Amino acid sequence: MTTLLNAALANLIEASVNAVLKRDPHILARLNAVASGKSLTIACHTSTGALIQQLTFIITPTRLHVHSESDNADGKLSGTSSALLALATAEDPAAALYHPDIRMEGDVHLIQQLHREITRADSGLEDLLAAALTPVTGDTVFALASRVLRTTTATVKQGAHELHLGAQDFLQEESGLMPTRTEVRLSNDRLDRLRLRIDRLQARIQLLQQSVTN
Amino acid sequence: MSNSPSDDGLTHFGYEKVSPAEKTRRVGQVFHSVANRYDVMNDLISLGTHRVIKRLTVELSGVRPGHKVLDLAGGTGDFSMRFSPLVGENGLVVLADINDSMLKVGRDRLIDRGITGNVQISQVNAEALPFADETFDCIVIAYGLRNVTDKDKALRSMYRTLKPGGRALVLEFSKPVNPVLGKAYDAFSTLWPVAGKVVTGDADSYRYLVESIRMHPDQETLKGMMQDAGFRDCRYHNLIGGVSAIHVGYR
Repeated sequence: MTTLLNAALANLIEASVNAVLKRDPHILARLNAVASGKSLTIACHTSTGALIQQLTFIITPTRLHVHSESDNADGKLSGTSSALLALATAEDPAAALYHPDIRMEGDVHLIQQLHREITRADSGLEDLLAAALTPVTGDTVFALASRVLRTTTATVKQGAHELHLGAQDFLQEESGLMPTRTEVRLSNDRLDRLRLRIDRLQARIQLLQQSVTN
Repeated sequence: MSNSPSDDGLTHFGYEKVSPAEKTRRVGQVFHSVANRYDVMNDLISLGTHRVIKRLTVELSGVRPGHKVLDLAGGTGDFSMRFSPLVGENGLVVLADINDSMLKVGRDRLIDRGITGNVQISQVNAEALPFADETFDCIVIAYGLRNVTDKDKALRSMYRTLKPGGRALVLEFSKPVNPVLGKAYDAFSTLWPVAGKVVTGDADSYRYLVESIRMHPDQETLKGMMQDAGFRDCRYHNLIGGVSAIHVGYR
């Protein structure tokens, strides 16, 4: 039953994505320019490696096909939900693609090219959504909703940043419960040097033992 | 359960045993009779689930742009409509069926939707496909194998026309794995002739449908038949608890 539900979900996603792409055929044309007829699977895993959801995108000149069951994609991009989300939201998208939780298989060059194209297209996404949704919601409602969304996102981001700084300040400076980044780095360096000395010491002991037995 | 005509030369038409020629004639009659309301009845008897089942079959087909696909027993063209945009202008879909009434409905539906160019229509017998060896990347037969007189011969014919590495998919009614679901499904299917009478004015065709489903090989038997025809890596996916099943095999 899950397989059928996944297929139904893929159908819904395909319809929505193509409705948006229809508003700006330029995006589909650009995707086709780099990967016409190619397919890319995106798989979302938990941190323990269990598969949550997998979708395969097949690029054709007329539409983007979305499949839930596919075993022969040209490229596969898998990762945890947070790492995959970072691909879309990170300030440096190129760096996000090389996150330790992201795994690329198959045609890596294709994945890189598609990621680049999608990142470029992302800037116009709000305009596309506006064009797709305003016939349903009306201009005023959409404008209001997008303003609320933007303000809320900005507030949440700002709040999270301040909370992070505040917590860092309290834990490192005031309570002294946690070391600063520099202290950790210094401590790691000392630890490395200590390990090196221990290794040398062990080697000397072995040499001495050999000379005693001989 | 016989999948080819038995020693006495007879085969099943529903619960009846008839000669192969008689089965071919009667199955032809069934589909001539229901062709025009076939899709409406599909929605009714499957409660709409056939759409997502067909979509899943397309997903499992692994068809990509440029591929050649045979939509065997494709009738009203549901699969051809789905495959056409997927194979693109460099690919080809052949909508094939033994029944010309079903093909006419399929052809009209395709034209109405502007699907032309990469779809060809052929009236063929699945037991003797008139295509060269190793022609297709994928062959799909959906809710059609049940009606073929000699299923083994049809599977061998499919194998012959498939390219090495190509994929064959058989979507067909099957045996529910849960006995309770099986009973409920049996009870539900007794309503089909009634619905058939109301919608198409033909109860007998839907009585045949119910009987033919019950006489159709179960999942493991069909998998064995595919392996005997030469297909490798055969597997099946039970859908809605085994009410339908998609069998996949590779050449």
